Amino acid sequence: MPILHIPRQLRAYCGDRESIELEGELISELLRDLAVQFPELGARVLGASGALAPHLVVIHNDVVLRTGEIAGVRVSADDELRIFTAASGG
Amino acid sequence: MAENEVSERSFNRYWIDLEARSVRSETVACEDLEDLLGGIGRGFKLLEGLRTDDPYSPSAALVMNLGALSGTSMMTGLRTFFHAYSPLKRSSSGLPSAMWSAGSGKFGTKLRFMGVDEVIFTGRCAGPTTLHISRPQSGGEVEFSFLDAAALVGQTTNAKIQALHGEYPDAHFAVIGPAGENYANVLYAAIALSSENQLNSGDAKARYCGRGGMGGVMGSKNLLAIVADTPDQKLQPPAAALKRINSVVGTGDGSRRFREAKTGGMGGTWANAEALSPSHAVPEYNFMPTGTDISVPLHRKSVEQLDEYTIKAEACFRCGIRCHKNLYETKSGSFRAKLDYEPLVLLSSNIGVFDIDAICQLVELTDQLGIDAISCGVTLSYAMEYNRRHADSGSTIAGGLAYGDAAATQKAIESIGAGELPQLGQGALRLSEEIGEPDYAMHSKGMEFPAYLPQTNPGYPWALAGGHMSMRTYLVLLNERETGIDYWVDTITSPERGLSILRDDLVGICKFSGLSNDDVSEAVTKATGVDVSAEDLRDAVLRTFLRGYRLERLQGFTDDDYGLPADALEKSDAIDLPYFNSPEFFAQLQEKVLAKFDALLDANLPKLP
Repeated sequence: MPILHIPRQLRAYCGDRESIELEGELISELLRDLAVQFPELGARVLGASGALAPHLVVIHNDVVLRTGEIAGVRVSADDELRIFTAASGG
Repeated sequence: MAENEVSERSFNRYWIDLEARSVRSETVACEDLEDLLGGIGRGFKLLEGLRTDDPYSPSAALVMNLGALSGTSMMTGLRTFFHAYSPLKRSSSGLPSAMWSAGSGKFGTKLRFMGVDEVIFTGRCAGPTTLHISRPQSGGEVEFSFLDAAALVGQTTNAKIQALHGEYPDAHFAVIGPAGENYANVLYAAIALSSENQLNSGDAKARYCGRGGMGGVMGSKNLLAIVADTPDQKLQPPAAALKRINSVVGTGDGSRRFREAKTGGMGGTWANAEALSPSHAVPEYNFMPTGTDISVPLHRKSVEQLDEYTIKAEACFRCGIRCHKNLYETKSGSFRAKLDYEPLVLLSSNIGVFDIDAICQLVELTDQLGIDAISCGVTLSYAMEYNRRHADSGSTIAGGLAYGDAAATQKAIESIGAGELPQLGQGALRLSEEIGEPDYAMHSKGMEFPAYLPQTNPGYPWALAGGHMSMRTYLVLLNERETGIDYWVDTITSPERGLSILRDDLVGICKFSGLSNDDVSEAVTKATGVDVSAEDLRDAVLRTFLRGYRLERLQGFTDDDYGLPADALEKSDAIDLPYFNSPEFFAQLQEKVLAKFDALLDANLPKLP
């Protein structure tokens, strides 16, 4: 199953897991599964429409995908993905 | 960490009396981990014994130092720190606060090559002066020469640096701009540090110690430039020792946000505008978002679509992150400006300007004049908001400066830098006191807010040196959507959360490296030879924050000084994030955070004699 790595600041919403296994063949399906498995995490990762929240990105095979870019993107069973906040300062 | 290992280490400190032109050197044995780490760890310890009520007094000190990783083979280890009592940040009693500002470039590396770990300036030069610091590659004593800088007076930061580069080709430079020379009327002047790219290209690509008016303190000493003149040497420790960690810096997840898409990155801090826009959390019109798409032209994607500009990702010395997003004119190839999120937004949407050409002009102007773009932008937006509110009565300020008037804004910034507009040069706190309307002056403790809404960040008042550089709470609401009191108390006071951002200000690496404490402790261990753990680092961060907090209290900060402007506590229907930071919430938070810090202070620092 594909693995999604969770950023440190969101791990509190999935039982402090660093990564979670998700079911699906499309990234959008993985995100839906994430919301089912961990509703509190889903509330922070998905926007009102159920799509990836616009301040987040998913990294898939080192490609940065924003919310409008993930529709139809397929994943393999051994893929690893990451969620990131697209905003950062300092 | 073994204490005996620390006490066996030492650093080189130089006391320079600018009036007497005398230099006293000492080799100081490290008393504790803060001495070993350097940066603000050592800076705050020093400032405890160098208190003043006038930051511009000749007797006031300006401290310049390095972190343990500054000038080493650690990627991004380039920071030089300037510490002093700030002309800008102050308590309601009027006393100035201890402050620091840091910048990259290669100046700190040159100091490291010469073994100059720390310099404390006091006194005032009789006339405009360049301090030339040199040491031959073959070794020997560090030499200090005080040179006439009359020819540099009035020149921009880049003009000063390029002129000095012509004279000292092996050197790097710390300079002030006209704003620092006109320190009495500009309380937020910056210090510019030269970069390799700047010296090679001739373009104005300095790195800035922007916040808190350190350039004014340097100017008050009649010190226009510092030259660190020595040939390059091999960086220490050997690069192989830090190969793994440097690889993490250049290609790891921590720096991903600041890298380019072709290296798996997200495009730099500029990308924040796009990320924050859907929540309408980009500051517009003095931090009062419109809830519209008005700021879309500022997005990097929007600018990329304009044929007339080309964006190039460039880097500091030996840095693989390449976070500098420099804008060039496509046709001429001319450099226009380095667009970071803070100056970009605070000199565009927050003052109602949306034309990218005008924005480049304003950003570049503040850099060239040696002005902190954050403080300047927020003071301008305050004045514009005042004028909007008083347009009908005709009782406007700063020539009626209005939102969206880029040409008038440019003239105002030129006047501020020239010291001819002291009303705006004094910053938002003092201006709002002068005209009696503090509710929409967007600062805490006199430090103007960076480009993250105070409505969403109740942690600002506890930032020691500017809200996005010294308190990591500015994006918490966006990510975590938490609105409980206990959650926010913990987030602000924890050395693993809000305070964690201070770590890089001890060791001298860039905040964009995004390293774990484990990686940084390993790097410090390799650079210093002292076994420093991640827990040691965390504890040093906490103690250093508490020293800064204690220094604030010693300089007259009362509970009420830890506040937010009243308008920032009001609900905004335009912001698409949970509203929680109400006057009642903030009052409770203030009480609990101060109680927590007071308790931590008692538990972690010995009482001052």
